[in-house]
Amino acid sequence: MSRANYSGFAPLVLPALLLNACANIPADRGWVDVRNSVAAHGQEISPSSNDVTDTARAATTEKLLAQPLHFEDAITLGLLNSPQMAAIYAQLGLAGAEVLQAGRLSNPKLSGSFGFPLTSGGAGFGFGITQDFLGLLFLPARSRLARADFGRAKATAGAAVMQLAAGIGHSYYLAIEARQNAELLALIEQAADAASTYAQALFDAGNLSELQLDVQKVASAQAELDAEDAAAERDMARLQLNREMGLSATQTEWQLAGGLSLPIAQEDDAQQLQTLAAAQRLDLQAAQAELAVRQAALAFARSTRWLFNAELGSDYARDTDRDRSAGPSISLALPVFEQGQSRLLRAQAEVELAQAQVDELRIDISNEVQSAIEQLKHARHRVDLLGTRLLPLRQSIVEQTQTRANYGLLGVFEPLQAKQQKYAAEQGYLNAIGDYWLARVALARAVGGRLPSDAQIGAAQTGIESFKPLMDQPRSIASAAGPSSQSSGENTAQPAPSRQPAANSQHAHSSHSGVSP
Amino acid sequence: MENLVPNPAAPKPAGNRAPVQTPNGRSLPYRLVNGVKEFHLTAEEIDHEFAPGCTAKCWGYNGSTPGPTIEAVEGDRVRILVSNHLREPTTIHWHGLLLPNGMDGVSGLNQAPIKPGETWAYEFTLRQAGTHMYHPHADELVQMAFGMMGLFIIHPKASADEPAIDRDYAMLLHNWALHPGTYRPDPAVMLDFDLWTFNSKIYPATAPLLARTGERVRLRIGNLSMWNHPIHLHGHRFWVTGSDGDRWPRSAWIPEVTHIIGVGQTRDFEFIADNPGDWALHCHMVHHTMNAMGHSVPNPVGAKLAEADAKIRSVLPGNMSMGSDGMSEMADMAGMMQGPPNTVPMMSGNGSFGSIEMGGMFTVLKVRDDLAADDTRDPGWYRHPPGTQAKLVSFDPQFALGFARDKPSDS
Repeated sequence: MSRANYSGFAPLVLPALLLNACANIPADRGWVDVRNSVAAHGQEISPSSNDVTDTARAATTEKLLAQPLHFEDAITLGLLNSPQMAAIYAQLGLAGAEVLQAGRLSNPKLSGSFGFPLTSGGAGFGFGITQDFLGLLFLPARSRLARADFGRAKATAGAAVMQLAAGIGHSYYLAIEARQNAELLALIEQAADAASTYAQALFDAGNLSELQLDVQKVASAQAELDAEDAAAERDMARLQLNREMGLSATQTEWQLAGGLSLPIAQEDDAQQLQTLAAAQRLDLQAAQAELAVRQAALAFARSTRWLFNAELGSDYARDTDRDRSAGPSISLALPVFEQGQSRLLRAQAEVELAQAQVDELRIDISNEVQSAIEQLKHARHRVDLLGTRLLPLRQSIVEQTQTRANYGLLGVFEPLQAKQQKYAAEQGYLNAIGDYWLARVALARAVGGRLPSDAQIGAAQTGIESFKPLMDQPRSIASAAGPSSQSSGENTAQPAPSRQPAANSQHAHSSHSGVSP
Repeated sequence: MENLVPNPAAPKPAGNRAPVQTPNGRSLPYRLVNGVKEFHLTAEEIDHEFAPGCTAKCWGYNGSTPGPTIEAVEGDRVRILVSNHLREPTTIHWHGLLLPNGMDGVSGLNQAPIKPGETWAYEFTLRQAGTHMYHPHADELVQMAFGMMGLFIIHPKASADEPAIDRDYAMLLHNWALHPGTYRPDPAVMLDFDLWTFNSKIYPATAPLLARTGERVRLRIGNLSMWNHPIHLHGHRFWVTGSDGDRWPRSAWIPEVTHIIGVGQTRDFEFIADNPGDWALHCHMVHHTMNAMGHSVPNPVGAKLAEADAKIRSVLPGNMSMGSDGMSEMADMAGMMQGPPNTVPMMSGNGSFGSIEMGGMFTVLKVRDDLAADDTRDPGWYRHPPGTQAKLVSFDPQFALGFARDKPSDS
């Protein structure tokens, strides 16, 4: 066998090797692209478990947990520690494998045969090599499709990161609200206990009946029960956040920073948010990429409709009489029974399916954005109503009942009851503020990135420590600009500004002071 | 303190009769028209001050509640013009007077109501003497609750008033549902009133009554409130000498120190002011000598409140748990604390020895040796002659007179 006899394999193998060399994915599986993409949507990943060693991850985690956690800290911890991030990275690997596979030819087939003379002569043999011709022909197109699909996979990964961050943010606000709610319920319990203790003292002196005492004691017991429920909710909310931050049950010694802030000054324009969502949602981009891939696949299927299995090869044989032969071979499937209809139909249906998914997602996004905007609007309105009307009135009632109790017009049970009702109103206020921030998280999730108005979020926190002074300030201050972030303890019962009916405006109603004869 | 100068326009008493003084009030002037004494009352809404720090929109006559005291003499022909400046009809009933049926003032029964803007004339001859009253008999519940009332005093003909009266005071008792923080009485209340008044004033805004030692004093009291009032005078024994049934025969006089004046009744007390000093004069229903107070406040007396108070203060920093030793500290704190708007402390007033702890139907009779007959100025607090005043003898809580303290036996 001369070397020239085998040179026919070269045109077959070399292009294939060259093509294979072009079909690679980045060593980071496109993770940096994903990071850059979510960063462009306002979510920095700094760093993730995919970026650092376990040792560095543990060190960063320990450092963050040592300080009271702010909203961004919780998300940083989650993106650093959550196994979901590793899962997202693994998904990128799976998509990369598809790209690698699409960029490589199927291996050539080597065949051989031996023949042993049954009468005379020597043994004969032959061998040949064949390569799927269509695979070779379609290789560039398949690689292009695979690379496009990898882009889709990266967008999907980015969307998953954004979803993960939004989920952590949601749990963060729930945990803060639950903590502050538990603090308020503890205050209500404290007030009820004070009333019960006072009632006991009066009962012991013989001034209160057992029935009157029991009314106060049962109220105190109920308040303690409510506080216990709130404490349980607080602990559950903490553990949920702990889980979402990728921390184990042994890593719960962290504190939440401050409390919920009051709503920002100016919300985003609704139409702007709709436009932003339509332009930047990564899951929509992934769906659009999927559609593009399917459309390209359909076009490819159409252009190759009449091409079926085709193999090129080269054979060499020596028969028993020692005659030798060598030469190329070709095998072609004949489109007699099947002319590619099913392949076309499948490709067409997959385009339609991808289009439907894009259309459905557009509608979903539009409504998700609007729904979150409505939630935000109503929560904000509740915050405003509670902060400027209900709470100042509750505070005024506390002050007035306190004044009347000090004047011997009421017993102490009334101001204590009024104080509990004020705390309950603060609970409603807290709930409204919590709903506001949860709505912002939902809106950011719907828009697909941080909200433009996030820039207005300041450092001032409206924790229970800081909104207590707001409640206890005279109405004129409480209803003016909003809360002070300073914690200064409660005022002594300052009388509410005198309110006189308009009909009496001509009166010189002087505040009372003692009158001497 | 208010200067009790009589209204210069008040009718001059006949002969040597002392003028009627209506503490915190005045008598109504009249003009003589063809032998008829003609008075004019205007029913209207007014701004009334019960005491500094407590005012209200009330209804009265000629700018005040009670309306001015009408004084006339038995046998007089009087014409009383009544103008209605209210926004609803009214009438006036001449309480206790013997007069023609058509002059009795019961709306619908004796006359049509006096509509807003109208002026009606009541005219009759006085056939009796004594202390009487006037008040509306149309929407009576509201109009009286708002303060529409006055005294109608008919002096007997000359020489019927023996022995002669040196000082003649007239007061009208009333109650008001002026709830703390409000500025208009609540006419729906039947029992739980907030303010109890002498001539629509609460102590310490009630004017003192003055007398020179040895003077004969008459105190005319009418009750148009919704409670009976046992009026009690300290340091003197008085005789109940008359009522809305005129001056009683001397044999019917009752010597007392406390006399109940029922709703709708009048009584005349007479006494010799023979005991110099500052003497309390008040209703003996103790709640009637309080100003606005809570009637359903849990009783703290005797309770050990230290633990509860600490807990309450942690919730209500401004709380002041008082009363575990009694309510006296309420009066001590009254001037120091801010109360509800338009509300005075339930008890207040200071004398030369501290808090008087009174309110409502309380005033002071000031008897002095050196008071001129026509002097109506407040002489200030009484200076006790040596040896005439209670004094401190021990700070020892276990003080005893050298033998075991008298206690009930354990039987």
